Amino acid sequence: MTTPLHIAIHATADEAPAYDVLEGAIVLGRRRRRRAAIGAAAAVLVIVSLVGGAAVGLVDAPRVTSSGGPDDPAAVRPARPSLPDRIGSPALFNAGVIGSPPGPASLIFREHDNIVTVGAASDVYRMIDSSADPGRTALLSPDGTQVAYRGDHRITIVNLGTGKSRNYLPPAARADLVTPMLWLSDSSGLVVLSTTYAKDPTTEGRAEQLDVMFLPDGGSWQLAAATWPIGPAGFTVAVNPGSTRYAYQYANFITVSEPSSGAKVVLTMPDGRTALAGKGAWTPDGRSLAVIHRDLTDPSQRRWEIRLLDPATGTERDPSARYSMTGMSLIRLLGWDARTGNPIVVGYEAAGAVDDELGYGGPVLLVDTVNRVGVYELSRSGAPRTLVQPAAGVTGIDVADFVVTAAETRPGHPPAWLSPVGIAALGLAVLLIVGMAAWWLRRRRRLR
Amino acid sequence: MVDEASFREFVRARTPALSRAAYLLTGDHHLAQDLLQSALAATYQHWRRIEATNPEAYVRRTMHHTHISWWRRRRLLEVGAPPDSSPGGTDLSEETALRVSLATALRLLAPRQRAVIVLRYFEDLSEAQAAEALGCSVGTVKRAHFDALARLRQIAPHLLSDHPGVRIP
Repeated sequence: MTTPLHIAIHATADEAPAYDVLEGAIVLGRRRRRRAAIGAAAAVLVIVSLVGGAAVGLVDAPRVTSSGGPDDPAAVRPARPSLPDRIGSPALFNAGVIGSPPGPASLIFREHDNIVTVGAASDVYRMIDSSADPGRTALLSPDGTQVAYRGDHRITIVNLGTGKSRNYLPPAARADLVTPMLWLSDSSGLVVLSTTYAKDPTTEGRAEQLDVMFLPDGGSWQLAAATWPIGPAGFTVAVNPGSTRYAYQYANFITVSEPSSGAKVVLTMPDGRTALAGKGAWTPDGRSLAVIHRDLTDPSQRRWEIRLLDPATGTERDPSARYSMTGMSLIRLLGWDARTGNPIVVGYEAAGAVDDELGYGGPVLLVDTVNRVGVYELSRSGAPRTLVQPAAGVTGIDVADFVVTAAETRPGHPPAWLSPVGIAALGLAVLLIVGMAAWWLRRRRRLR
Repeated sequence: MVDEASFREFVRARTPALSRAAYLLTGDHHLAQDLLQSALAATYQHWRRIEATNPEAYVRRTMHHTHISWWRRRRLLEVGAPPDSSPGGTDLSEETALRVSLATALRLLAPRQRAVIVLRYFEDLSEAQAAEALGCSVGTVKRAHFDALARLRQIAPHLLSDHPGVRIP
C-alpha cells in the first residue's frame, strides 16, 4: 500500500547522491582491525588476571551488614537508610546484582543501558543489565528489596537480597507490551499495564489494561481497561497507604477507585497542563491527592506547582498552600518527608521540553531528551533542598519509599573508575607483562 | 587476508542504495557520509565472515546501531548546555506542522523511531524483519512505530493524511 509517507520518504531518499566512501572505509577498517587485535591481546591478559584475582579472593563481595545471609532480607536491612547526596558512574568491572546481591537499595538510576542500584546505607553499587528507565519503566520496591522492570513481553523482578530474578507475563493475553506502573505500598505486588496494539499500525487503535498483580505467584485482578492510552509510565497510577484506593489517569481524567466498595469517582483536570503527580500522589494521611501543574505565567522559568486536591470532588484543598519549583523540564512526586511533611520530587532537566500535546494525557517527557535528574525536597517557604545532586549522564531515577519518608542524606561516594576486581586485574596484568618481558629477555640472552 | 576486490565490488554496487538509507537516518549529507563510511569499515573488518552471508543486511544493521549510539553520545556531550527556554519545545501548532518537510519531521523523532520508519516505509520490511534488523523485540518495534506515527501525525499530518486514525477523546 502506498501512502503519502511512502512517497515522501522515497522522494527524500532520492536527494542523496552516492557517497564516495570506499577508500575511507578501507583505511578505517584496517585501522580498526589493528586496534581490535591489540584489544584482544589485552583482553586475554585481563581475563587471565581476573581469574587470578578471583582465585586469590580479591573479588568484590557483597557488603552485608549483619551475620545473616543475603537470603534473609531482614538480616541485610541497614540500620540507617539514607540517600547518597551524590551519585556517579559505576566502576569498570562493577559487580552485578545477580552475581553479587547487594541487599536493600536506597535508589536506582539509569546510566547508559544499565540500571544501577545504590545501597540503602552505604554506597554499594551494583548493575542490572536493562535499558529500562528507572522511575518509569523500572521501579524500586517501597522497601528497597526488589526491582521490577519492563522486558520483552514480560516484567522481570530481581530480588536484591538473593540476586534471583523471575519473569512475569502480561495479565492480558496477547499483549505486546507489559509495563510495571507502581509498587503496592507493602511491596507485595504491582500495578501493571498491558498494551496491545492494533494490527494496522497506521491507526491509533490500542487496548490498555491495568491490573494489580501479586507476588510471588503473579495472580492478578483487573483495575481498569481502556481503548485509549493510559500513561505515561511513572505518572499514571498512585495508591494510598494501605493500598485500598487507587488513582489513575488517562487524557485529562483522573479516576479514583476503591475496589473493595466499587466506588469510583472521575475527576476532570481543567487543562492539558495538570497531571497526577507520580507514585507519591496520595498524601500520607490518604486524604488528598497531589497533581503537578505547569505554570505558564512566565514560560522561561519552567515553573511547576504541586497542588492538593480533594479526591472526592477534585477541588483544590488550599490554593495558598501550593508547592512550587522552577527550572525543571518536569517534576515527579516520589513521596513525603515524614518529619516535615514536605514533598520529595525528582527533577528532570532535558534538552527538549515537556510535550503534553500528544494526546497521552499528562505531561510526557521524551525519554531520549533527558540530560540529568536530581532529587529535591520542596518547601512552601524557601528554595528546594537538593537531596541527590543531578549527575551528568544519569537520565532516570527511582527512590525506595522508606528512604523518601526518612529524607535523610549521607555524603555520597560514587565508586572509583576501577572496581577492586579491576584493580586486582590490573595489578596482575602488570605482573604478567613484566614476567613475560623478563622471560623473553632472559631467553634472548641465553640464545646469544 | 580480506578479499579486497570482492569488498570493493560490493561497495561500488550497493553505495547508491546505502547512501539513501544513511541520508534518511541522519537527515544530513555529512553525517550520512560518515555513518556509511563507519558501517562499511565495520563490514570490511569482518568481510571474510559475512561475505558469504548477506553483507548488505549487515551494513544496514550496523548503520542503525551506529546511528543510535552516535545520538546517545551526542546527547551526553550536550549535558550542561543551557536549557531550552521554550516550554512548549518544538512548535507543534497546526499551521507550522503542515509546512514541515519529511526530513525535518524525521529529525524530530527519536533515533529508534526514525529507524523504524525508515525500515518500514523505505525498506518495506515487516515488523519482524525490522525487529531483527534493529536487534530488538517485535513489541519494541511496534511501540516505536506507534509513537513515531503519533508524533508525525502531530508535526506533519499531511504525510499520514490517508490514515486519520482515531482521535483520542
